[in-house]
Amino acid sequence: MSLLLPALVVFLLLNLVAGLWRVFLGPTAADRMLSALLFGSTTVAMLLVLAQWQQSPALRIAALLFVMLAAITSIAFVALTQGRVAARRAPAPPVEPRQ
Amino acid sequence: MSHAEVWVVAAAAVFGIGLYSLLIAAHLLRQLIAIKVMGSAIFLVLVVAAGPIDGALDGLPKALVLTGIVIAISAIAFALALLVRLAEVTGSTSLEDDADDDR
Amino acid sequence: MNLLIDVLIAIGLVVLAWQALVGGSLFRGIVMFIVFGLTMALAWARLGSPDLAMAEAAIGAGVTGALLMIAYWRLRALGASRPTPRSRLRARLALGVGVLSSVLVAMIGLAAVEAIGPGGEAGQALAAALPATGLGNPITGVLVIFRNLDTLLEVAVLLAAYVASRAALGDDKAALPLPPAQDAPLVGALVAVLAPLTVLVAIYLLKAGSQLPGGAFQAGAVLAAGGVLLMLAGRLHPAPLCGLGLRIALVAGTVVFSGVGIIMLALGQPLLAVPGTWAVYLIETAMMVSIGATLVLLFAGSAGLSGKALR
Repeated sequence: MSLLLPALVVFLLLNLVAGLWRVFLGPTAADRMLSALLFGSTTVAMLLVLAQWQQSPALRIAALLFVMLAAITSIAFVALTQGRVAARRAPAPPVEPRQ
Repeated sequence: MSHAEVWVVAAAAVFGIGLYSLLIAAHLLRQLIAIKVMGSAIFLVLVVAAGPIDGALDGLPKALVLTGIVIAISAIAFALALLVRLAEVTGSTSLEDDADDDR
Repeated sequence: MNLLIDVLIAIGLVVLAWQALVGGSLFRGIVMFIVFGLTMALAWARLGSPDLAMAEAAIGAGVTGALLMIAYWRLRALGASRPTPRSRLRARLALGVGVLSSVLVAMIGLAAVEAIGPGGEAGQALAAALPATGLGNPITGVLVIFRNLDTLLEVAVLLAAYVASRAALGDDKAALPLPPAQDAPLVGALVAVLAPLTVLVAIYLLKAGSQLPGGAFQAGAVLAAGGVLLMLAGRLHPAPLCGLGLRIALVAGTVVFSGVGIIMLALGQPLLAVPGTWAVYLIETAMMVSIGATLVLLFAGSAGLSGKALR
């Protein structure tokens, strides 16, 4: 049991690295934002495990904040990328580099 | 390497990356992100240097850093307002200092 | 195993900082910066400071990310040009400066770790003095009682940032552009759940802050996140004038904090003495309202807010 929780944290951290790879690859902005949100979910899981392992219940509240902010971030992303249509009237800056 | 040393070395690397980016980035928005990241690195050093890792006893540096986080967002928000105004007036998103160097 | 976890998070921080700052498009940089903020929150959690984890998630990543994104969107909407990249000579010089500064920070940090050691004198004094205040959270104790002049000035700095932004943007024209409101059915349902939830969580954080991690700053940032949500969903709109209620909300933190302090001075106590736990709650509530209102207005880039759209 004493080894299970830290091992879980390491496993989740490795998951984060995998998610990070996706953020790095893209290729579109939506891919990046989705993987950033996935990153957020994994972070929530890790905070919950850390709360149990480090005997620090307040981290559960931090996890709650993460979940709430992730929902708001996703709405912000939709709003701001739909706005790109309106911004297209302006001279368009170079698009994202494709790998 | 101890826990504290790991964090200090990482914070130092993050600070160096921030300063490097601040110097080479031309876009002011990127430079603002660089300043914010450098600030985070310093916060990390402050907390790690002052307290025991598990005891969580020393509240002073943490309160200091909490203050710092709010001051940082105040400064960033004002800088962003200046940046948007600069873009409105001049259409530019950088401070072209190179033009002055031709003297 | 513990060390491995710390090393993995630390490497993540360095890689994310590089991704956010060097190369790639600016939008990717902003997304990476938000992820960097989340990882910072994880680092704070590992360092045993849930207070900072919450503040970093809500303010450092959440609200700062929203401000950066809306500024990016506005720069595009304004059709601002993109700057030409810097010269290669400059990049080489910057590399040297970056490496040197990194070594400097590492040396100072390592020296400080060795010099101070665990639990400095100030921390022990704080732990000894805290029980007398009736507060359980040392950070709230420092912020509201022991170093409250700093906190008062900090709220004033936030107010100054709002006033300075107004001065920079000017009142004489229409508000800055905002993205079109999201009125899809799902968004409406999400707002109906999330907006009251932000208020509930903010009040919980405020109440918990006296004994457990939490406090006015985290609560204010959560309120601000709720305001940003309402604005993106088209329920709140920028207004050219700042209404009376909003003006009161903006200055509430500064006025209540300094007001309590001055009344105590008149009663023969030292300046900014806090008479009891009820005063801590009063001051923190006023600060939360001010922080939330100021951050939402900074996001809106307008003088005020209204329920009805402009025009």
